[in-house]
Amino acid sequence: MLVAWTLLAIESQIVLAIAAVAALPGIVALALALVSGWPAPVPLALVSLGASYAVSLHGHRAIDGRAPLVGAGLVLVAELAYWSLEQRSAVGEEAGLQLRRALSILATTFGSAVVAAILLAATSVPLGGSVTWDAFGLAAAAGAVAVLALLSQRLSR
Amino acid sequence: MTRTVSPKLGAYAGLAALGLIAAIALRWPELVAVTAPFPLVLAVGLAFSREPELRAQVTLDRERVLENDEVVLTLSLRAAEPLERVEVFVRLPPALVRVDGANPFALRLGTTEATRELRLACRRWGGYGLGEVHLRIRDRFGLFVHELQLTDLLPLRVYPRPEEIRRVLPPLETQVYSGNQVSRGKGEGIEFADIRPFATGDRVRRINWRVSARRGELFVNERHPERNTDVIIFLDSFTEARANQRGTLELAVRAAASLAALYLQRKDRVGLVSFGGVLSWLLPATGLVQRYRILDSVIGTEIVFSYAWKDADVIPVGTLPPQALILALTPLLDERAIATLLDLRARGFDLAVIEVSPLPFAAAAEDEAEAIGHRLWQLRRETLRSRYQRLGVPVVEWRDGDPLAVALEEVGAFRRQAGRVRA
Repeated sequence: MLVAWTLLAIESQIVLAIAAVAALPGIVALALALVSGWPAPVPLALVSLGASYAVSLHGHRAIDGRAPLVGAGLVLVAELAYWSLEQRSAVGEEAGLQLRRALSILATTFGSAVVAAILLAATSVPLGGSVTWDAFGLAAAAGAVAVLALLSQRLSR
Repeated sequence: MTRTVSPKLGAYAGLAALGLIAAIALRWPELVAVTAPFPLVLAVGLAFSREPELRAQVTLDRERVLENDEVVLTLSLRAAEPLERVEVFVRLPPALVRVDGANPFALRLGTTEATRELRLACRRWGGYGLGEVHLRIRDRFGLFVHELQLTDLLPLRVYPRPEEIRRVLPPLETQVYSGNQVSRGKGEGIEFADIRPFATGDRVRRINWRVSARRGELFVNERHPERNTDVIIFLDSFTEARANQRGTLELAVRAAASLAALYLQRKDRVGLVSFGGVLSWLLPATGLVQRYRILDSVIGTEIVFSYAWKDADVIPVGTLPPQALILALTPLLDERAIATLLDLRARGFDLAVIEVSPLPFAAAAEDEAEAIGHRLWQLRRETLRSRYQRLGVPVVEWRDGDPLAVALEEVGAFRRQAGRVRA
């Protein structure tokens, strides 16, 4: 559904075809993961679906307002895929566990959409392009990775 | 407790890095919006992730049960902080069948203690250790999996359910202590034995006045005293015949438990010899304690493969009292057990053999050659029985499903026919 929704907005036939081709491996990888119970193809599927959306952006002059929804949709796909893989183990769940998990996934998806929308709104502020801002962006990305690494390290102690 | 990273963490981290790099390289802010949720979930998940503090305890409502009884295993879980998902698996021996309760199961654990019960049916005798519990704890965001294993085992003894037997096989000789067996000797008792002339010291109450009046002199009644006996249960554990999760050893152990209970009820002294790859023995004794000793010993019986030759000399002195009845429970498959029983008979022991028949456990013959082989095997077994019977040893075939009492009656009938029963 996510793929169809992103493809529907493409006007150019060539771009549509390329985007569809880019999305196809993702759909196959996701199906493979769900059928086989092997989690490795899931990130590949998400990269493929993200690439398909990236292709669909070709030719857009203005910032695409659907991006937060696409991001939230990818998170939803990922969460549902991993939940499905966890369910393959034959463990009898007590009442309420599945509902809690579903609500948690919905909350994560909604929260992701909100944060992504805020970020997109922030990026729409015209600051002008320069090497400085590029470096700032790289530093921010590196900082984000560093924070994640620190958090992981704290947990491993 | 071991901690492993779930595939989701690596996938989200990789997607975050790839998306951010692509966004910077292509200068497309939309890619930031598409990618941002993944590091966000990671950051929040890592920030809220804690090493879980979980305590688990297993209890049983009983330590000793009979076959087909039920026990309740109670698992208590307590966590310092709420745990989103705890998966629990209690490892159970195959002989303990779950009747009620889920296993494995998953639950959300708050800070209050949670208890879950498993009702187990004990289908087979034996000694078991229960309490091996595997716990898997997943955090709210599914980034980490913590695993914990409890290995403190609780003992559970499942005793064989005794069979209903009304009459025992009486030993030929009795012992000196008071019991329920009518002795051959003469003394104080209930059963009438003989009449003899009065002698100095005889009690007046023993005078048979009718005979004395007829004979014109005093005669007294003599009676058979009630004495106890010594019984040794000889369990052949060298090998067994087995099919469909049942075997001759199971039948032999059930029979041993039933016989021990019955003879101990009569105040007889009962001992046990488990003669096999591992030799174990219990000196004859009486009472409830001895019954539990015998039961604990027989439920530990198992076939231990061994090439070592064993005979009657390895059985410790004192385990086989001279005038004891030796009841052998054997499938008559191993030469060592067969030879030892013949040796015991040659040494003068009162021996009776209950052959736990392996025939029902033998695979059916599929062709003519196998049918001939099967028939030859049966003939060989009949020859072996004849060999015992020529020595005066009753050998009775007892099959799965037949009452043990019938086998004991056949042994008694053989002894009566052989003229060895007391007058």
